[in-house]
Amino acid sequence: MVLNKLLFFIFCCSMSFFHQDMDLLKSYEKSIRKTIKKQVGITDAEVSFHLMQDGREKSEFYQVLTAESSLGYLMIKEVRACDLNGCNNKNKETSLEGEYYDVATLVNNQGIIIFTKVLNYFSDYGYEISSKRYLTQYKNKSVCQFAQQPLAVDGISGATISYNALIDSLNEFCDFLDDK
Amino acid sequence: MRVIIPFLLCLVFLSHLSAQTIDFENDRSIANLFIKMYGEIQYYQEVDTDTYRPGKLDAKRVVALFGYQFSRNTQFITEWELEHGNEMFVEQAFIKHKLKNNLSLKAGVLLIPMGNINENHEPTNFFSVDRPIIDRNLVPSTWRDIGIGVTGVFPTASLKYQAYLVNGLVGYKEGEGLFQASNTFRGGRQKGIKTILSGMPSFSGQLEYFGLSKTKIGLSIYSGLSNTDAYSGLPKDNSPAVLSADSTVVYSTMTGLHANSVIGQNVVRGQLIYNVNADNVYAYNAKTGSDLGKSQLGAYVEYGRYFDKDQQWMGFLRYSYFDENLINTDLINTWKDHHYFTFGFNYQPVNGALFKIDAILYDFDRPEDRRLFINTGIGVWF
Repeated sequence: MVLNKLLFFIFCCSMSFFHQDMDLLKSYEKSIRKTIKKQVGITDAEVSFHLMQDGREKSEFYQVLTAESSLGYLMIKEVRACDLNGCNNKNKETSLEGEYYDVATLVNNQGIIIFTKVLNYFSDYGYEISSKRYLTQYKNKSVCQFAQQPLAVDGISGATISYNALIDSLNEFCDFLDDK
Repeated sequence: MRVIIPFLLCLVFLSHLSAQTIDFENDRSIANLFIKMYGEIQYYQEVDTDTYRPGKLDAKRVVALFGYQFSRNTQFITEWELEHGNEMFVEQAFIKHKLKNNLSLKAGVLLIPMGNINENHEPTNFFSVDRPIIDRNLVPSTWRDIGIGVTGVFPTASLKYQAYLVNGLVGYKEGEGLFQASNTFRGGRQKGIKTILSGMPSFSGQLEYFGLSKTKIGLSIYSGLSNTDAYSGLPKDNSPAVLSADSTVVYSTMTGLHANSVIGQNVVRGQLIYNVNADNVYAYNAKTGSDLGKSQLGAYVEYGRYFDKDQQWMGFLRYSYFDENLINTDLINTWKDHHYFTFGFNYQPVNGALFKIDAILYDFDRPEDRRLFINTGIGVWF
């Protein structure tokens, strides 16, 4: 009987985790495949995405497989953006206000970042975080080092919320990798 | 009972999940509403050893901003401003709708993208007590009007663009010319209040590049005919009257280049604004008695330094230049160029609350026109 309860509970929770049905990947798969091809040199046809978990918030985690092996893990996440007329309020990162941006991060099997890419930036403010040049500094760093060393990369003046939200998303990715 | 307990636990878990998520599907979700405020209260005191000069204290503006995110792709934003304690304005009121990645449609009362300040005009975004002089006397901040256009960000190219068609400035209304040399177009802002559109809308656009390390640069343009009420009620076959009304219109093109750089505790900002009016400005001046110049140039460069890592204390210096008529080709040679020197300090005990003090030396190169102001004020943004 206890086992039945446990199974039912696990089923309910599983349903809650898997309700999104890969929405973010559907939106950005072409762009992500193109970036993987550019960064890793693997052609589109060789890469497949295996959904592992929809995350705590608007995020999706995938194992990225090639024909022969696992390339690593991918997180696609909708994170908090700076919003109307400002990005500096340090108390706002955890609020539920409505603006967002979408980001993809690919790590190898050891958790080292292969790329971080902003896929879509809706807000009028804080868009500096999406700069390709800025995001390059995340490459080759462990996705788990930001929890201990938030200054492992430079923040962006005038885009504090977007920066902190990006760091939070990497920490969430690290938690996922630890738990998987 | 055996099923209910885990089921309830599950519901609690699900509700917890939904509380952590922006709920775009629930159209009554309070989480999709956002509210912000900013305000400025200022004290200006001219320092004059020979003449009494009363100081001025002003509750310059208290502003509330409201936004509502209807869905992932659609939002409405509005900004209501109470100026000087008794004037109410709508500074922004627009719908922004994402058509696709990198392309959003925006329509309503829009801010004109020009230079550093007009779009980012909250007191935490500039160091001086009041907005920089160039952003008042040349760029008529807060410059806004009703229009429609597109905007978007290209992350891989590090570019943001904006392109709008907006109702232009009004240069002539109720028998009076509204443009003048000292503050250019400031008197001609329509502010979305029962505006006149007597010709074609104006074009306003901006391109910003943020791919440089710690630096952002932007190029802005505004071009169009000013509006007038002089055509109102004129028969279209009355050529002399229409020609006379034509003299109340000015065609202007304003371009701006701005740059911001933040390196550690150092901030460097610069801005260059150039406006040129078509030759009909001479007819405009003759008709209205105004003294608007053929062209205007305004520029400033400023350096600020935070004294501590928490960015509570900072000092800044700014040099500004404003030429009311750069190409002084007409007969009335009364226009001046102005040099301003500003320096001051900011104290920000907590993020979003500022105490400011500065000194501005006007026309320091001309002893007969030289004026010194000491200003102080507070600014909040939250």
